[in-house]
Amino acid sequence: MDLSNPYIQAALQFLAIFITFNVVLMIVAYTVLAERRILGFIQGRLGPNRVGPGGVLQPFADLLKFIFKEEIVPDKSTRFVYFLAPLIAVTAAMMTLIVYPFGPRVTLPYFGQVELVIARFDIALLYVLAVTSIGVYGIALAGWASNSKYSLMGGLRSSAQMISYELSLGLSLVGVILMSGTLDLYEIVEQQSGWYGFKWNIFPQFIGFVVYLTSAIAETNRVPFDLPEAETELVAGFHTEYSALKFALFFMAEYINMFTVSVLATTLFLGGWNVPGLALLFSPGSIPFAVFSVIGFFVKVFFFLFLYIWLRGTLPRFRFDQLMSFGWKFLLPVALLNVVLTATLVWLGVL
Amino acid sequence: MNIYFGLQTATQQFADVNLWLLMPELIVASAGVLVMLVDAFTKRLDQRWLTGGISLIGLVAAAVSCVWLWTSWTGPTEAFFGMIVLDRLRLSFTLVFLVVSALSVLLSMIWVEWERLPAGEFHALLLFATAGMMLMASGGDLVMIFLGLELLSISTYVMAGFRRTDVRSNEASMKYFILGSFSSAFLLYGTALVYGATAMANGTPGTTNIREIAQRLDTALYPPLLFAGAAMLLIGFGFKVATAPFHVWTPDVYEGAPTPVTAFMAAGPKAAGFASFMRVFLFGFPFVVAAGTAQRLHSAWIAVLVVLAVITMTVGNTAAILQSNVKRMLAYSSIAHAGYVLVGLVAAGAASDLGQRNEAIAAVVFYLLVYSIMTLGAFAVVTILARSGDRRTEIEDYNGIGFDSPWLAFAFSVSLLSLLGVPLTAGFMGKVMVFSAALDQGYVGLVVVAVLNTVVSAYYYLRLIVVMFFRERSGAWNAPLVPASMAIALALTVVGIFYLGIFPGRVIEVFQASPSVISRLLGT
Amino acid sequence: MTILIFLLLAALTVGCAIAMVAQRNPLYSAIALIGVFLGMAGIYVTLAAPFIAAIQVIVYAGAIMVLVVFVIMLLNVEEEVRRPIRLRYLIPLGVFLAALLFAETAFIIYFIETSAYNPPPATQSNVGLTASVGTGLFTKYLLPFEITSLLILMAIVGAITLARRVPALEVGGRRMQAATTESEKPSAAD
Repeated sequence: MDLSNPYIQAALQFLAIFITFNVVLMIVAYTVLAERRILGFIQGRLGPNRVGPGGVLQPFADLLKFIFKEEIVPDKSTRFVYFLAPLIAVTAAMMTLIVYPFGPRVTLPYFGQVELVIARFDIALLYVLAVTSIGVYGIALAGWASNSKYSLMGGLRSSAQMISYELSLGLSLVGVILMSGTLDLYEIVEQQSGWYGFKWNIFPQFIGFVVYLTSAIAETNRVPFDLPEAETELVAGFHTEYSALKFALFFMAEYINMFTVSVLATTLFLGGWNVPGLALLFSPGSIPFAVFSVIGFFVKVFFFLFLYIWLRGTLPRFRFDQLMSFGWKFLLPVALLNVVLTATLVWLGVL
Repeated sequence: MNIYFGLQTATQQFADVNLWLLMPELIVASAGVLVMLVDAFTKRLDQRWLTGGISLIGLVAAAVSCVWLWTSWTGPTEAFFGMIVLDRLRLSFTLVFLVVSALSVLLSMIWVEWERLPAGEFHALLLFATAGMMLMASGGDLVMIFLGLELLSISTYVMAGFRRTDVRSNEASMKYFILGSFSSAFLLYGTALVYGATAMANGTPGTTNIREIAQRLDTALYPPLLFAGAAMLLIGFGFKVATAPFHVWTPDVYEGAPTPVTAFMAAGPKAAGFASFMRVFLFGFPFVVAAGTAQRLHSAWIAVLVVLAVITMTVGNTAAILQSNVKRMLAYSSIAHAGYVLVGLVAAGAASDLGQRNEAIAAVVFYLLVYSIMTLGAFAVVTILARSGDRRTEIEDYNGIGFDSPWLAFAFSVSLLSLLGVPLTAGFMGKVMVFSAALDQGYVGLVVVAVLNTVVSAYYYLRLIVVMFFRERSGAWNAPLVPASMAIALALTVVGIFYLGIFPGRVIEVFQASPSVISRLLGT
Repeated sequence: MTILIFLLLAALTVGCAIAMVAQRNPLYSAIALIGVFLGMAGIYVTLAAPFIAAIQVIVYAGAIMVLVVFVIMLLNVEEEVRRPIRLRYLIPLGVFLAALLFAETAFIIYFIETSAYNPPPATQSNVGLTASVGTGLFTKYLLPFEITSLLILMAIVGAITLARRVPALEVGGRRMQAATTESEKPSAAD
């Protein structure tokens, strides 16, 4: 088999994408389970533990339930858009998955040297921002097409929130970009491998990190920024009128987004797959080094996912005007300040 | 991955920054920002004086820096990689713009209070528009000219619709916006075509720099594209300066927009449009002797402009006769004047030697200065007489006011006579300069048409004077009080009209002269 | 392979463009326009200009069109009703202009194909890369870039001036009513 043949390469890429999607879907499924169980513990109850040992088969039971539920389409909905919206949401969420590097360069038998990333290209970070910005349509259109006031309000709120916080999110990344001088995520991770794998961007970019984390939570519509689906006011927000698999798609999109923003936080601020001190134990490029790096990467990602769940169990919800003024009047200026500060320091040669 | 390739070259090159060359524009833009800040952080007490005062100070400072650049600048005459050029065309036009803006500020100071409009925003927009006009004159690159034009246009769209509760104002703004965007698109498309047409055979991409365009005309790979691009540019500028047949927006917009804004629009953007027009066509597609693409292009645009000038003058003057609304009449008059300026532009374009060309350019700039002053004067009187809400703008409203408000009527008459071109007024000198420049280039027919048009225009200018002084008054009439700022503006215009009409020599000499001569003139 | 991708993207772009014009529901038109932008972004990628592609998606598809969709949603614009076309005589003019545009395009392509212009192949060019765009913006096009910021500032001021609620201005220490009916009333000078 000739590995340099473009068709073979394309086939391998497809295979890699297929595997990644499935792995991520499994992660998503178990994030949901973990969320329910952890929330249960936080609230002094058990959470789902009946399906399978300790509840491990619960996601599959949920999936079956989603598949076999009745599809209800609102009578006066705009059918085409109504069906399109969940597809947009989930597609946009999944499309970013291919650019994240999850492990270091490794020499594999037969394949030779391999970079553990599906697609490495010049503008990976911009690609992430671009695809994320498309995700807004899923929610906005869902809210509109359902022909329900709750959905519309939820969709509007959600889109307004996402657009507002997208600014701070993008600006919080600029600090990292200024420091690393590239938009290539793989390159950014590699630059953080100094100091025995501890030269993480979180230290010089702490402000950026905090801004990123806050706006990422808002971007994914999670507590305490989950106004779009504030159940006390809006039933379930933009997906009020969605049922069965279409609802499942929105649900999936939300958790995939959670996963991807966690991965981005790990990649940009927590050194990606860099595990401190690992290079002292194994030689870089060897298989055990790669395995432990990948494990380290996922540990960091899971930490963020846990943080999300933790916050959900702890914090109350913002009011909408508070949310907006927090985003525009506090987070955005702080992010701008961070950009100015970083640019000055980079210019002075400090960073 | 050659990610660092660009970064390395970036550190080697530098951005050719020269803020001194950009000084007048910088001052005006900063004054605009300052006005916004002051507006935001002061209580709304007598704000029009505050923001208006800051605007005036900024404009005067810009004028000072402009004169300084003219007299004592010895450094390079280009900056930002040719984006900004320093030459006579730019500086003389910049002074015209500053005069226009200063008079507009004076006109609008009390008006914003009459109309209960936010003064700070208005003055800030006016200053940004001025910065845009100045960039249109100073830009040495089609990109800069386009940006300056947009800066000017967008602020003018807003100012035209500034009286938001008035339907006519909204309509004017909307019309101006749609047609203006349309013409901007023409300009942009023309720029793109010229860029494409000036690509070179060795793989060098095209250029938008006007000087380089001129150098590449004969080696242009796609001459038809060049012609198409030049035509698009011509249409775009034609829209902005309101030449027939691209003038149809003018009467409606001028009539609907608030009168001080109309005054500004009739004077400023028109002059700025001509500045860019001359910059692009005189320097980008200049006169050449050798037969080739450049020569054909030159003779083509000259021929088109001759036709446009004739149509514009004739349409403007004949349509003005039929109007019953003063603002509409003045709008058509402004179209006619664009035609006269085109005569000068043709003369400047056709001039084969540099001295004659410079004289023709100076004639055009002088004409635009004169036109701006007299049209601002006329609109100032219209503003005062129209009262809040622009209610009295029909010609009947002027019946017999001459002896009740003698000073206003006098100022208005002077402006109108100057617009007509009566000897001893500035308008006469302007016409003489422009027409003689055209005669020097042998455009006898064109000048005859222009003079005949002037004769036609006497009808509607004089009619207004007759109406003011010899018609019976219809309806109740109280002589309006003339506020101080308006009085200053009117006095300045009247003095300016007579000064430029009787002693034009010095100003013309300044516009024509090379920098050393000016330092001598000013140093005395 | 490249030609196949190009054809797919071109089909998406052109199809969406036609759908945008043909659709009577404004929201469908907006969605189709997003499709056009995405297709064009894809074409930019195949032209080795990934930065432009990303910006195309972020700015046009991600920001501007969201605004358009918002407006359509909030105004609840109804489906366009088919009305008798008043300006019927413009149809042949439109057809003529469209034909002219096609002719022009064909002409440009013909000229470029037959000309001596010899551009560097796309793989060597760094035109669409992030670094080259940044270099251009901060060296040769520094001044236009800065002027653009002024333009945007001014546009914001203008938009807010036109769009905000009619304010009750305080002039000369007095609180004044909004000028809604002011033009009807005779003013003090009359």
